[in-house]
Amino acid sequence: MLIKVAEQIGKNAVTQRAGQKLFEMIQAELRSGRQVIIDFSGVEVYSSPFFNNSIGRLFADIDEDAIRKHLVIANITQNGEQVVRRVIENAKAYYSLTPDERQRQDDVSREFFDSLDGL
Amino acid sequence: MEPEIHTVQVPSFNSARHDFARMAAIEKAISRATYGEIVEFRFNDCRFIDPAGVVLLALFQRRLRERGVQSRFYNSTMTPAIEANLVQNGFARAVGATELGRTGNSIPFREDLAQDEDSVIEYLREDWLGRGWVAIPQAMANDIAGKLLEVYVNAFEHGSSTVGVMSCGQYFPKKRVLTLAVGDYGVGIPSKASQYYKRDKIPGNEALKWAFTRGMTTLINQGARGLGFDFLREFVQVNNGHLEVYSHNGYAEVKNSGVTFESLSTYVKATMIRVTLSCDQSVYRMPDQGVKTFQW
Repeated sequence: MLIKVAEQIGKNAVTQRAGQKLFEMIQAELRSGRQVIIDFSGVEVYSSPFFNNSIGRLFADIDEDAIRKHLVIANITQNGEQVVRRVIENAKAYYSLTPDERQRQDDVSREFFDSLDGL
Repeated sequence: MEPEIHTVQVPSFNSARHDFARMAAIEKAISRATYGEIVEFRFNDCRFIDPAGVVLLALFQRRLRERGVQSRFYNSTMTPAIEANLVQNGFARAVGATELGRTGNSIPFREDLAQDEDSVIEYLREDWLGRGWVAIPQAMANDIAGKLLEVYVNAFEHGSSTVGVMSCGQYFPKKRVLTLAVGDYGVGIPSKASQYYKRDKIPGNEALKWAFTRGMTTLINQGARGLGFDFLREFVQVNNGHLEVYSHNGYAEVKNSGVTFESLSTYVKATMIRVTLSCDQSVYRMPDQGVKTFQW
């Protein structure tokens, strides 16, 4: 499956809404083990909410190896690549945690703020 | 019966911390005005007002309007330079004056009641970066617009501001810098952190530090997020810019030399983000103009 992002959402890959649209187009394909090429030709501006809602979310329920194998990101600018790589890194860290572990991470932060009471 | 009139003197405002303290005092004073009353803003002592000050005044006016309080801005008390600035950047018109026009070094005042990213990108690229004050390639302008857009997205996602998000900018020719201020009257970063962690009070400096931590987000069950400040911090540091965030009593400052967080003794209900970029193109690490295809 080839998706030309500029044709689908325009030249700004920035909104959560646009990210959601892309996510809905690619999720089933990747789950079925089919290749997806996302072509960013003509896209000018990139922002993390778009990638959080499109590619980052894939890591919630699709195996990382399957994403690596089947998802191709094509014709993206250096800035776009920087944003998507950071989003993927963040998503992998987040979704690698179990719900219990996420809860514990929140608890650690809460304990951190609790510890400030004594200062 | 005549409505009660509250008079405030707007101070000079250059985004120093004591300037915010003075604005905090004004915010507190005008919060006492009630429905049907009038707040007069006078500028007798004001010699300069930067974009963050303009945004704060606009936030004050909109909040007063929400409460049914009338605001009056007395241009007869302004210096010619202040009046020209407020007319040029569109603030005067936004608060009820009839003057039009934009010239000089002002970057127009902007008010977003709903999230409209495409329009914000055009504002950043054309009105802020595209006026010829900084000679950078289009790819760089796109890069900067994308990173600053994160500020707006953050404000809409986290802020819940009933008066929307406001912004204003200015070019300072002597310093050769461009400034952009973005403010809202949302819940604020310290309150958001307190809500999320179910704690009564989190010190301002720690709340801001938390907001700048990669991956931290107050949006529960929405997946991995929380990169907005991270991208902006990195960009500002790499390109020798300056970023300040004021939210309630929390303050963060990002410079090339590092990031500092403070708890202030004063409290402003608004959240204000102020970005300053150099117009010296030699400081910018220019992106590669090519495109790339990859799997990771």
